[in-house]
Amino acid sequence: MTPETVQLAAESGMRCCATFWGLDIAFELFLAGLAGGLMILPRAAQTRRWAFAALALAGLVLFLHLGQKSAALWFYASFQPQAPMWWGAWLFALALAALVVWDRRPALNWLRVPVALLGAGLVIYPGIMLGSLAARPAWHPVWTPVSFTILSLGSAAALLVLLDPRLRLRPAWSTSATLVLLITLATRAAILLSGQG
Amino acid sequence: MPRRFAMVIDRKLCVGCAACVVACMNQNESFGYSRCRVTERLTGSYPNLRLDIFSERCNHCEDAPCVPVCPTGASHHSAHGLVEVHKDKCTGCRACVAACPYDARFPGSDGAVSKCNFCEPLVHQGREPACVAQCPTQAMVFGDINDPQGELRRLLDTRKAQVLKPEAATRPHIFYLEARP
Amino acid sequence: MLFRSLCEMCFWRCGVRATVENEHITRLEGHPTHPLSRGRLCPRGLGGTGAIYDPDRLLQPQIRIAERGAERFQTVSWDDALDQIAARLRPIIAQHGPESICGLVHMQSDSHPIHFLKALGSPNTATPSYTECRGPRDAAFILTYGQEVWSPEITDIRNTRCLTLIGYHLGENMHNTQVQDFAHALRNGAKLIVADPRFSTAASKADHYLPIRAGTDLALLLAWIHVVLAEDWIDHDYLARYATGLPELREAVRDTTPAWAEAETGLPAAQIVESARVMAAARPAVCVHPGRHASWYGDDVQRTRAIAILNALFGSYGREGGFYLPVSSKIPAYPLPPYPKPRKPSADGKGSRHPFAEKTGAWGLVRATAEQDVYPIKAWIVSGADPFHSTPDPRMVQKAIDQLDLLVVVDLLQGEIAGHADILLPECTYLERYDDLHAPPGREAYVAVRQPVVAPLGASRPNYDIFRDLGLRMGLDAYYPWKSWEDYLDTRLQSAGLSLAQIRRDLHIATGQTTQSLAPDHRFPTPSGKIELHSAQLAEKGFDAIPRYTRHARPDPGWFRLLNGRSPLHTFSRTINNPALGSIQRDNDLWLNAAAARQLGLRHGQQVRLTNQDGATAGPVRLRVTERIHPECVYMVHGFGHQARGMKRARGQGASVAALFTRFQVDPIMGAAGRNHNFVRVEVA
Repeated sequence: MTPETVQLAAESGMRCCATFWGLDIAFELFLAGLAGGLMILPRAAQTRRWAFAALALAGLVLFLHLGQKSAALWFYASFQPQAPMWWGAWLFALALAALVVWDRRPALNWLRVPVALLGAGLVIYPGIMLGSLAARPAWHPVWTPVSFTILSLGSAAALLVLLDPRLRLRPAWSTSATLVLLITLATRAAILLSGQG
Repeated sequence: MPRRFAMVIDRKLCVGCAACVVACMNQNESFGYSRCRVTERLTGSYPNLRLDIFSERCNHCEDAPCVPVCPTGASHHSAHGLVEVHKDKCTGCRACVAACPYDARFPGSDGAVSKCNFCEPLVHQGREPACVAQCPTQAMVFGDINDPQGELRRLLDTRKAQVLKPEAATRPHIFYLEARP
Repeated sequence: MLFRSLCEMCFWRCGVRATVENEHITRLEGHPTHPLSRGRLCPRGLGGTGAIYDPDRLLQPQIRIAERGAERFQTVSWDDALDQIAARLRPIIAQHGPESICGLVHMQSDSHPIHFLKALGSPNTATPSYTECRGPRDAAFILTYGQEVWSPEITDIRNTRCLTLIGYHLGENMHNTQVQDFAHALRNGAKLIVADPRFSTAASKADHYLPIRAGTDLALLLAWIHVVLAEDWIDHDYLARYATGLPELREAVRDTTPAWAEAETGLPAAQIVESARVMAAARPAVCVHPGRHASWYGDDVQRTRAIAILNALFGSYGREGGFYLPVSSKIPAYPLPPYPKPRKPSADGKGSRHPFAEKTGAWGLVRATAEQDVYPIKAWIVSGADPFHSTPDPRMVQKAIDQLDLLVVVDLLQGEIAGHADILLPECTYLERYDDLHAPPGREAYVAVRQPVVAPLGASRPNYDIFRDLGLRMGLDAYYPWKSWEDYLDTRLQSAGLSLAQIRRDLHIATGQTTQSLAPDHRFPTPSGKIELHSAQLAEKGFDAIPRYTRHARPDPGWFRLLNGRSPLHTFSRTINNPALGSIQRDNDLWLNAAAARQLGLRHGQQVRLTNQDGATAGPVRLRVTERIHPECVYMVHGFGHQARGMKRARGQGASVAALFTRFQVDPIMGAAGRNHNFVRVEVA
């Protein structure tokens, strides 16, 4: 709103430029992207538990964000292929299931493929979802998915560095990796919040 | 032609008092929540100024972007052009809040997403939406835009009207008559 | 279930329809047929559920248990509270007389403390609406036309062809019926002229917006009178028949030309002439509105006299589209013995009233209490008013309170004055009680009555019961002969051929009288029987018989004149805490001209502090950098800046204009306190 725009609105009602997806969603996007990135990159098998932890935590954050949690089952009881959020709900569920199965049956190497595909979905869909909102021009339809992909892969790579016993103990590597993680989180928050308000 | 509900707001008469905001709070929500708002936009420099006052709410768009983004099908088109929310299917994920170019939706007091529904229960009884009924200047008119004898048609045929954010191309159905003819 | 009553979210008294489910009011709407609401309510009226269900409401009688102002109270029974008040009043009356007790009261239920104090023999009851508000315009119209402007105003906005508003910001100033009529006039193509240093909502609809320098309105009015006379845009027949003083008027405005006014007002002379032409073209259906809150500069009676004179020149008074001649129902009073004659005159005006003051002035009583220089004033009964917000110079209010032996406050919330009370009594809201009959002046006479929609919450009680119980303790039985308030109402109504049962069912009953058009031989209630363009009464007392312009002091660079006004969502300071209304507008902001802000290096949205010429401060408050105000002024909505702990929602929100009104100029004609003489500096908080 420009300075000479004034609104008379109830505190919790229909307000211009209110934030609908805040820092909790920024954190969730960071974790989901991190998980998706781990599921794509080499050493996915070794990091599957980290991916599961990140994705489960992201799912928890998402679930807590929901205003009416009792309706959450409807994600899975309806068919809304035109809605990126619907794809996201299914990607979460299927990716968590796949990671659990892979952990229980590590010998099934072919699971690497669906896990990578689901990971790719997790990496790409948030950017597509934000970019598809014509009402929010700050989320560019092309650049947003591209930047989210880069951020996801970057944060996953940084975590791989921190998990690598050879690299973790080298200050230059571990500091850089930590910085990358923080920067990818902050950048997501900045992109998310700049598209609102 | 089937009935298509819409609203016309005469900005020559509207004084931006926000009675509509309070009336909606009383009818539909609890203290602190309302499904409409009043905005004032100023252009010019003192003393050559123009003040544009808009009483805003969901526009019940023909091509509402808030409907396809809903992951559970809670957000939907219903009878007579209304856009409504199946409360029991709404998870409060706010994808529709993000999709609305008019900032017309918001997290309601019960957690589900809330927005103007043209006071559908009142309209069903043949009454007017609460905001329309209480507006002290009678600036707001509600009715069937497809009725050739109706008040909306008469107003839209005789006065210049605009919609908010026409560039969003959603075919909104709240029409604002010019403030200064 | 549907119930009906009269709103009291302000003083207008619109008909209200309430929906009640399980003894809880779920919705308020305008009563469909009541003449003031016509089916609609303003935002304040709609927010009445926030008043009755405000969690901060006072629900029990309280007695102070620490020093005054510490806001610490203990709940007591009604009997204890009223016994204590009576026990403390008796020695005060014995030693200092009944005149030592003042009532500072407002809202319709003020009739009960007023009756109590008159029965005691005190001359000292006042409401802020006189010297702090509309007194000047009523005095001016009485001097000119013989009667006041009344409330609701007798302005025929509904039918006018041209409405002129001078600072009167209709649309933000939300008198329900008047705003409805305003919209009706606009719908019908009436012209609108607005003179205001601030680009108000009304200004945004004006055909001619006059960005007048604050304090120069009288120059504009005199120039308009000059032009109208020079161009002969007057109603000769009307003036010949109904007015005196035209030759004196011509002489008095000989030099008040548009060019002269341009230098004072900053308005181009051509604009002054053109706006006069537009008004004249609409005559006699032109209404130059006298305003309501008129206590600005200390020459406010004269400014409104000029407005009254201008309307007379157009022949609009008593004519359609100008001012109608009001009628009202005359319901006989309840038979009572006459009040005792007070031993002393009222203490405002330093013991001798200003010559044309029809009513007692509230700030005058506060001053007399602070200085104790008329006669001792030892007790206050405050009901429905907060002098810290309504009286200029809160330091004077504090000093006054420090002189009191007894401070009794009746209120809905524990606001600033309530926090200083010795004994604090919870009145119930308008939705929980009756009030006296309402038979206002209007086009059609009617009588209506406020009636309870639900039972009083907690131990709150109506004023008629509170003051009756107190009156009986004070031996005033003769003045409380009715068995109950319903008995009082029914007795009055029966004597007019009506009944309480009937009015409870219908809410309002027309009593038949309707406004008449001006008869050829109409006699105005003035000494001459005519409209007095030239006021001999004023001349006799040494005042200008025809208004004369004086230039008021202007702010130095870096200082701004503080102007104040109203929001459509709030009433005075009493609704800020309301959970419905306060959730839409929680605080006020300070309007500062954009160019002035740039010069000071101030940015929109900053928190700023205000300091006035006497060192009084207010804030922090949000800065609104805006093009909507004259560079020499700043503006805030009045009523904010609450500090009382008992108003949890409103506390600390916005800034108090009242805190900055330390300097005021008294109108010598009737004692109004003109407060627009306060200049402020604006600094980052």
